[in-house]
Amino acid sequence: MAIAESMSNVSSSERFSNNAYRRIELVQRYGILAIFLLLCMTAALSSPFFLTPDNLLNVVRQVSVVGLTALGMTFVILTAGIDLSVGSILALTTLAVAGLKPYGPVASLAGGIGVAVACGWLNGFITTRGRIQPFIVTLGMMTALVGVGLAYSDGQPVIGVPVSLGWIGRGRVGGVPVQAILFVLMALVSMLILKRTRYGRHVYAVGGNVEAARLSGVAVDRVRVIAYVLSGLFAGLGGIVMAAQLNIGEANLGKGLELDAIAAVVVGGTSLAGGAGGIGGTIIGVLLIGVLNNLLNLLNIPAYTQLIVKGAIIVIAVLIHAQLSRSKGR
Amino acid sequence: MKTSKITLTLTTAALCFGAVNAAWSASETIGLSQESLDHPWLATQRKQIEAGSSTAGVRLLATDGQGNVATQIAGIEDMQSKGIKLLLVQAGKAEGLRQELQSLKERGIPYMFVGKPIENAGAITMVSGDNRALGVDAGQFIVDTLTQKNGKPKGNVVILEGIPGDETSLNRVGGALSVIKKYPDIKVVASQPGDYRRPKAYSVMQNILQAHPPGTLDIVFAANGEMALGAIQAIKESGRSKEIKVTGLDGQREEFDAIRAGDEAATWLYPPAGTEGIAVALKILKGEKVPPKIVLPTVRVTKENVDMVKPAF
Repeated sequence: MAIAESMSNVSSSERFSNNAYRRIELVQRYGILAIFLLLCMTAALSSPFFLTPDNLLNVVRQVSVVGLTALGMTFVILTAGIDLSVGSILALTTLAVAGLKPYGPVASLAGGIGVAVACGWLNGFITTRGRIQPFIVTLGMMTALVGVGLAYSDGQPVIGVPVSLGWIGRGRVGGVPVQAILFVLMALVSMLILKRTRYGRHVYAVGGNVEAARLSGVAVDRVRVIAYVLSGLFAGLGGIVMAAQLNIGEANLGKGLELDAIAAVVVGGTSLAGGAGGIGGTIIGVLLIGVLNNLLNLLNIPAYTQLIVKGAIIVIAVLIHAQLSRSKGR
Repeated sequence: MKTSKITLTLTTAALCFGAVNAAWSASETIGLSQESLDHPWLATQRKQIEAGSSTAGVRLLATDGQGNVATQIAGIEDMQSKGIKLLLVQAGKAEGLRQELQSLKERGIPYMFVGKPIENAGAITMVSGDNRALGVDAGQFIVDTLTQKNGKPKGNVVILEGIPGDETSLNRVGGALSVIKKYPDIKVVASQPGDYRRPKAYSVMQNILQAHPPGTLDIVFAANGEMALGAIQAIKESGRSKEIKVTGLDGQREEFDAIRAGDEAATWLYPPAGTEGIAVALKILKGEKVPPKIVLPTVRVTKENVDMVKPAF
């Protein structure tokens, strides 16, 4: 029965013109962009302050921490994994950056990145070697790393990062916040990795069909470990930005960040099942959530209503996207 | 070989635990249950209570709910089964704990609140600051500051709330509003949640600054210190520090620095109540009578007295 169904699907899809295919692809790629532009239009109409250059730069700056984290998350989700520990990795990085202040900015940066990469690698190592669900491994890591941070800092914030690093969090180049530039650069690098390198193709292969990838000679475990390392690395970059911005390290700075990052990736059209999606969508997803937060504040929407609106818009965005792709495909 | 090694390890571990347990039962044991440990205020409270009990030679068991009331209840159950004489509770989600405390009472285990109380829950005593009173005094400070600035009680106020629905936030904000609302010319132009967190308050404040151009804001009331520090950062970066004053609540060390630097106008001490709480607990263990409610004094900290007061944590 199932076979017959899929057979008929194949034959009917064969009757599709190239145009129809292109249309599905267009909707999948640009549907979420349309929803995002719609939200921007609503924002522009409802608040006179939204479209000011100052506010737009403000939004880009605000999304860069979640954005950096979401870039790494995209790699992991594309391999059909998940990384719940990014918030804790980010927080631990802020602690490393602040804690290593006496040894100078280079040690601070290297320490922060080192901690983040090591945590990411550990996630990947345990997941692949132990053959355990990444959900559980990274959930455990999320809890344990907060503990490590609290133990290290004795539950108190560590105040002060090297002065020269403040530039990363607060500086501007030609009026554009440095952290926004960092986010855009990293997004481009990620895009290149996924689109232009063999590693990128392997990421999609592993997420699409692990067995097929393995049989065709892809080093599946290595691909997955690298994805977790990238996720850790990007969360670490986010941590450096946050530490530089707030001039502190604290064990709970990343609380709830994992959900924001996952929401941005999924809203951007990357499938939690892996193998489909990409960085472009994630960028739109990040911006969509950022604009939404900005607008709720600009309009002074009360706290309880905010929660309802935020939850609803995330689901509705994905819903519209899914409906569009399906109806055009029929 | 391998099996015997494991057995050996387990036996050793069991012996160690046994020894520790025996030592425990030797003196009086009390329990401490906190909602979580992820805020400096909570960490300081635990440290104060640990210090107080170890000085007095009382064994302390401590658990925390990791932000989850079910986990907090499980921790209380664990400590209860180890035999505690008295339980100190810092109540997170207040209503969720009521039932558990009721059943503790039925089992004859006395308890008291430290830091965050629940009214009418059968505790021997509660030792804490008064959030509503702090809010009221902050409201008065805002009215006075605006009167000084604009010649009469008139101006625009921004409120940064805590986690939506959180009791502490409702009391602090409610207290402040009860005073501010008496003056029709004082307008609350924005009231937004910052979830008690610095990064969140920082970006929320950035957004509010966008919606209210220079010259339209006078003062920010943040429902805790972390949010005040986030707001200060955002205001500084916008170059509007001269125009907008910030008040916080809690009185943490960094706020004191901000007050000295002139970035923060005032804060109010909300003591973790650990030191005072353990002192009262020791009295209870000795069988002394204690009052049913001990409210720690409200201390307003401004540039005038910042060097004479100790930070709350």
